[in-house]
Amino acid sequence: MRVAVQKIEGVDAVEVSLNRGIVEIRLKPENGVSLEQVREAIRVNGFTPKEALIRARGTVVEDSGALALALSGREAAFRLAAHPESPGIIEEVWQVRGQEVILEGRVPETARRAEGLPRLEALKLVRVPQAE
Amino acid sequence: MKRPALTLALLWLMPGAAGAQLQEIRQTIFGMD
Repeated sequence: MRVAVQKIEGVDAVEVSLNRGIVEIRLKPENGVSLEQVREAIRVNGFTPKEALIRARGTVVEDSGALALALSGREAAFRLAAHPESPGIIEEVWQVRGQEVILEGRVPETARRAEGLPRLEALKLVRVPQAE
Repeated sequence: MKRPALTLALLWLMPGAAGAQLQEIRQTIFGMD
């Protein structure tokens, strides 16, 4: 499995711990990798991907009162929700609409053909310097 | 009312997202059984 994930273009480093049931992946700058790409590589190797913790850099956008984190590449966007451990984070994210930020959070296990955007339950917001 | 198609259309039109991407993934796995 490590080799299959490492082969995905944009993957920098992969560590697999079968004992802990965790695959840790570091991605290259400017990569276009999506979480679903990684999960599919795991599936074809006979494992079932469950929830994931991710760190992503993107732009906070609003549509019809909902917040999303827009990315480039295959992972177009995540719809944002608060993680139960960070109930107030959506108000914090609401303040940075239109800005580029780094968000850490949990992406639940989803069906392969889930409708709509994948959900990111935000745990931590990191503001980044805004480009002119 | 949810409008995922519209949301996606808006996102594709977003300018300046070139530096936006996943940086790290810690994926929990289950199997092989």
